[in-house]
Amino acid sequence: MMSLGKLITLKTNDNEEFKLDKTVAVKLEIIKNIVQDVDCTSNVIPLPNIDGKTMTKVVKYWKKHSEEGVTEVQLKNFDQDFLKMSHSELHDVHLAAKYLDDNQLKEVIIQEFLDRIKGKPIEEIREVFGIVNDYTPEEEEEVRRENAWAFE
Amino acid sequence: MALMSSNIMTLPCDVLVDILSRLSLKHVHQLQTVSKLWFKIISSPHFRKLYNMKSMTRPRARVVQVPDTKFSPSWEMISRTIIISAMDLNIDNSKIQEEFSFEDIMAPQHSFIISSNLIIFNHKVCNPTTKEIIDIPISSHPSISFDATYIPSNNTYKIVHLYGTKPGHDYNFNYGGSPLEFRFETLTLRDGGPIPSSWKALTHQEWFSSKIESTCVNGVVHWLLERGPRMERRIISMDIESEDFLSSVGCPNNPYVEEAPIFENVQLADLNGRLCLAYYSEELFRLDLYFVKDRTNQEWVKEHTINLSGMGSWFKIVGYVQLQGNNGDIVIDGKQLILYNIEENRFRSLPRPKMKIHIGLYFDRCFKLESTKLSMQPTVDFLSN
Repeated sequence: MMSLGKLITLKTNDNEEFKLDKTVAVKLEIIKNIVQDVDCTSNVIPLPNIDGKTMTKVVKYWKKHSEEGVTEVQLKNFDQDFLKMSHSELHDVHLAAKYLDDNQLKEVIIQEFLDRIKGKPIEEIREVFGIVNDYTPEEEEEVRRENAWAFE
Repeated sequence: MALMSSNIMTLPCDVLVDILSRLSLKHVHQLQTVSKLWFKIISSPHFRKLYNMKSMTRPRARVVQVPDTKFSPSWEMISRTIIISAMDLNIDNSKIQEEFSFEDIMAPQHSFIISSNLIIFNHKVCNPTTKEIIDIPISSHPSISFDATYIPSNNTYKIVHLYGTKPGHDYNFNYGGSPLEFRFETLTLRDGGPIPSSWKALTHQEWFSSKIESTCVNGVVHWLLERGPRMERRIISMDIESEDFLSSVGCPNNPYVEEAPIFENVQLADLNGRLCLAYYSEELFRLDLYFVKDRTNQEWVKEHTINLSGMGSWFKIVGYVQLQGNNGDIVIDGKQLILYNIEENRFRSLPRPKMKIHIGLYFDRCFKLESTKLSMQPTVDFLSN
């Protein structure tokens, strides 16, 4: 069993260490499981799927969201700022949240992806997601015609 | 295939699918033109099924209006214009968006049924979402009613046709008349077609005089049928997928008249996945909601009474919706369109269009009656691997 120290250390795959208050860390399923199951004496939990850059963001999110006395408005503003990242960074945070089984963070990221797509014209979506249009004009027209009801 | 290689795939499939399944039906279909990969994902049966499952939490209202009717010189109806609109229920003061209109021509044996997401009229089926109107095989029997039911597990609709066996007989004007043979046949509509060339007859038969009501709840169709001059009423039920019939159930007793079963002002409704029998008392302006407690003992329990005094003289239960941040409302159509919250005994009214003939709940669904003629139709359903 883990010793009862107040801090838990999370170690990323590029050997960056994050010290977290245990009360914050055990809220997360995966950490709770490791703490319970693994006989680790060192208080260091390895995170082989996450790099330091991404973990910095995740920890920043966790800390803000477990801050005492933080208001809804403050959290909303924080989230808005937090989500100002590139598409691939967002994706990395999503993968980390998925690995850490943090459903709240996962949902926040999915919502952000959704907002980046919602109501945008096709051209802009291709740009945002770095997608090359591999249709010939004839093929694209064909798809449009087949789904004419959706383009009215 | 070379389809994937030209894409810079930055989003993993499962995330993309999750995001796409939350978009509006129109937008997600537009997004098929983003790239071939997006097309493959969105048009795959797996995605379409998933989208439809998620859509079950987003009920919308379908409004059918008849603004214009044409008559012959002898005042017989020749045709009428049908306007289909959609309305969001989770937005206050939501606008009614007109989607589609078509001409309904009166023919002998004319029928017009709005059921689930589909409209069945004149041996045709209409999918208002995709604006498709397709012929269905003509049944050789006199019609009593059609019910279109949806099976989420394989994204199909099954139309159940209740018909009579006496040619030329008008089954819709036999109230209180002698019992006649009622039979059932089905037609399964798959996403992307084709429409089968004939109805599938079931062996089951019933003897009744007339049909009062029908509704589909949780994969079971229920018909409220009436028999004989004493107007005995029973509910006949069929499981959609297996096409097995359940034991029939009588109506609850009238709470205001001793020893007499309820018979007037009765309707069936789907309330949150449960069959509800609603009885409206004109004297008391009260709508009593009954639910089956024990099918074998024919036992009904009155779970709620809604006081509707001052709100009109006729009511039709449209259904049950659970909107965001809400524990669930019953949608009732009448002089106004009402959302009634049972727990809080609270009414909220919605704009109600004039000239309407029907308001019903529906769910946005990826479903096409006809197959696509696209040359690059996905051949493998790679998402389900």
